[in-house]
Amino acid sequence: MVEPLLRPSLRQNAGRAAGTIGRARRCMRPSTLLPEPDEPRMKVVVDLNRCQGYAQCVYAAPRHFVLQGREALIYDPSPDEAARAEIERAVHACPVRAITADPDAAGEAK
Amino acid sequence: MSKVPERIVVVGASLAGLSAAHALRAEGFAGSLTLVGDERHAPYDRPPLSKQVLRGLFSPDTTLPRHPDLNAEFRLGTPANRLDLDARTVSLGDGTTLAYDRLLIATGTRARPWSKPKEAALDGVFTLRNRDDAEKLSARLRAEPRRVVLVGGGFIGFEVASTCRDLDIPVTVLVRDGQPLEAALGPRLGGLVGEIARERGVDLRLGAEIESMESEGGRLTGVALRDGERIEADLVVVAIGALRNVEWLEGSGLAADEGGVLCDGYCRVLRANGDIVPDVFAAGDIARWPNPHGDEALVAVEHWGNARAQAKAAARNMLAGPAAGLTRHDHLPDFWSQQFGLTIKLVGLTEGADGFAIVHGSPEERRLVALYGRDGRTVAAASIDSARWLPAYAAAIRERAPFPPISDAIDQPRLRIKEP
Amino acid sequence: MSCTTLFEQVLDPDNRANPYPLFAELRRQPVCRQEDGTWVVSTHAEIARLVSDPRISSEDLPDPQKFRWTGHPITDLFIRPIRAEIRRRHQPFIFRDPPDHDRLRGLVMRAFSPERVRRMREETTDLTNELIEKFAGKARIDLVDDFSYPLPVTVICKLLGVPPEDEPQFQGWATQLATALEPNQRADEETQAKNEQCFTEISDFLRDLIKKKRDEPQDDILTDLANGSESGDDDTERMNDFDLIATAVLLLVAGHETTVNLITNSVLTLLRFPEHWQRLRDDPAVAPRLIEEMLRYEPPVQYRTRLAVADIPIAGVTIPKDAPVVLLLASGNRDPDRFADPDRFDPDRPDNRHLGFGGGLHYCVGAPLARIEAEVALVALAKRLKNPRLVEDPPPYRPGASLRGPRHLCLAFDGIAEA
Repeated sequence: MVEPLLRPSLRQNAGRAAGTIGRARRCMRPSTLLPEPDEPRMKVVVDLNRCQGYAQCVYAAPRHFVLQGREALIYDPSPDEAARAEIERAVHACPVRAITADPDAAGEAK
Repeated sequence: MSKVPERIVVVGASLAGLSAAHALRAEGFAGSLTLVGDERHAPYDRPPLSKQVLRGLFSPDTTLPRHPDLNAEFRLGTPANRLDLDARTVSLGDGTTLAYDRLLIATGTRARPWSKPKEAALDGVFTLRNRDDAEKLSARLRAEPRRVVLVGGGFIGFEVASTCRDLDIPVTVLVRDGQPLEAALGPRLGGLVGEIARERGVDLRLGAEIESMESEGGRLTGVALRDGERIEADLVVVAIGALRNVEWLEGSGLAADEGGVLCDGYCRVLRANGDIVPDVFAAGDIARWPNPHGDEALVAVEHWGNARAQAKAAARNMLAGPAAGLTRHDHLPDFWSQQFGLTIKLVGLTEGADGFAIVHGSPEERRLVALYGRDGRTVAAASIDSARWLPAYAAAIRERAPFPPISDAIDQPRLRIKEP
Repeated sequence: MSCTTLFEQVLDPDNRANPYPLFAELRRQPVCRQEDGTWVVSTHAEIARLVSDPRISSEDLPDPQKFRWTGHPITDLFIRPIRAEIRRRHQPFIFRDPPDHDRLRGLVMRAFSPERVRRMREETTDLTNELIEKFAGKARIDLVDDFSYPLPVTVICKLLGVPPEDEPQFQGWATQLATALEPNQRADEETQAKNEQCFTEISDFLRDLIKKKRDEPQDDILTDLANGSESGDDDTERMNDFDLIATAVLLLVAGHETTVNLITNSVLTLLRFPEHWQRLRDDPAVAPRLIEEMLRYEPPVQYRTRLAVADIPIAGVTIPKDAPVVLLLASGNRDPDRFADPDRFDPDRPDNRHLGFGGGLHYCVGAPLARIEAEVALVALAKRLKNPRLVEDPPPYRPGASLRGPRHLCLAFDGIAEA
């Protein structure tokens, strides 16, 4: 059920879904709703065990991924929705597929 | 094991819990899925907290990505406080009870508090484990403290010290026993990291211990060391390890203590008498399990990679029918740390290592791969800014290759085997 | 069929259009010794492992030129050995091992900065549209000569800082020198001689250009490499002129033919599967995943040759010390043990860890630029070409088996749309 993860319908809803868990919303009691973020933001996490400092993400999205020193990657865990194209480029360019973005642009549930 | 599960409860809404939830859905579980978390935050990532979040780079919001089709109920800010194995229920702090067909225990750890509660409560004394901790500490670091004292010689302490130096804050690190990072890297590499820290302006004190903390009006002003020296400081960060969140399991009959929740190689938890509880699983920092890469010795691996891998294995096994084979959790422990502009990585278990050799680079270059051997076998590999060589050595460790596994390689110094 | 002669068939130009069935046969024995003593590695796991194995060297590849006598004692005994030694010491970093490789590559990476590469997106867009404008009024084009070829050479010249008037000359050199990267043409004497001649010309040209960059620094890669960085203590390190020329030639050659092939292979593949061409037209945001899948499905570099510097036990055999090792990247990319339904072109493929740019220390330096060029080119072509059709399928291929791509790709279309 998880693939393909970027069906067009999901992509359109991606920003709005960031603060909720999709369809789960209606079966949750009000107290369990997650706080709605002020503005749509993506969520990004990098598996730094897997990362080998290829820096492809830094080229794809230089405002959101930075290499400090030879291979210490730091990144924006909560980039603005407006950066989606760049973030998706970073996700796909990673040679070891270490980047997961919300919704999962790598097409992988990790 | 009982029939196909309809209700799965995951206690612990951090990396392991969320990874398990994703894996359950990916494996086709369509029933009700509930994640219970004691923090008010949705599942978030912790490694950035001691680094970029503390330093104020990018966003402090490290909420983990969630799949739009995850379709899970989150019970956040409500700790679990009791497990009833016979009734198959978990009681929550808000008085409600959740029934489960399968349960995953992923309650992780918390920071080990300073042993003197009065000092721990002082304004200016911190531990760092949660988003809230990081947010508060980050604000204090931005207020230009005169000096920060780090207590503890582990990775969190050194990452915080590195962040302080990035912010040009004077910092003293107190290491009570041996060399920095010795437990993970051994004294030789640990000593190297200490040397690097000193070069970057860290006031590193080995064999140093706090006798007492000093304060004025409830506010920390400094620390007095055992040897009588006084260090003026506005902040103390206590980074002396973690405690496992097992208290809520008291009376459940599970084999759970400060060492973790005991489980088998398939993530199934055990009763105190050693019996397997077929419907209850554990994953992440809290799980103590036999590691095939460490001669089946019981270990609790408090690392990011293990949390994800074990959650996946547990999820798969939670759904495996009696006929289907269970998945062995055989993850080779791995972790990374970023400090002083360097990336340190480790795969394998260095415990009990009796041999050490640098196989690429050198300490002088601040770029190397070092291997650890035990009884003639390669058991671990560490890299500093040389991550691309690591997979070859990880493969050697998995294959129980002799130590050292590869000689006559390119970019390899003459191998000299030493004590770790 | 025995695998020991299969690679010979891969090299046979008759199999250029579709080598993939041969790869499938090769994969039955993941690591297989060929009759000539070369070891061919054809499965994903084994290739991925060997690209990061410290017993695999990129240096000291067998050089057939070594014992070629000209009959002139001074040439044979002095000039050539000295030149060969200089050449050996100043091989571009693609043919070097660490620590030299790391030092040279590090300097290149610093000049090849994310900001600088990023700026090339706009330049590439303009160039692309200029080239497409020239299609106006035509019913057919040769995509290779009219588009794929001129684009990358112009981009790399701009990035390096080669004056526009010298670009045509550069393009000629790039084409000739690409054969130097083609492992199995190294034995061809005529090619060797031409390459040597060409290398001398381009070296002379670059030497002058470097001098200009030192006298009048500009905002380009060659200027940065020629002058080194002035910040920090150990950052003052810079390349000597030998390394500088070797590096510039490498960037030109490796960044050229491969990108030509990536663009051409992509258009060929997308027109074979028109639903993907349409999808790209409708949603340019699909381009990044589509290009990654292209790098898996039709990688511009099909294999690389390395050298085992120690015995390497792998997949039930042992590659002996000193054996040449062919890493058949394009076959690893079609390995069914790694990729479900590997012969299907599927941009939505999860966890696409293809080997299109290699891996390990030698991962393609130009990958970020190639991605930009391919994305910009494909998005523009899909948007602007009206009803494009393949005129000839399969198209004629260039002889190279490693840098594999069509020599021509004739397209018919019904005009071009506005940019």
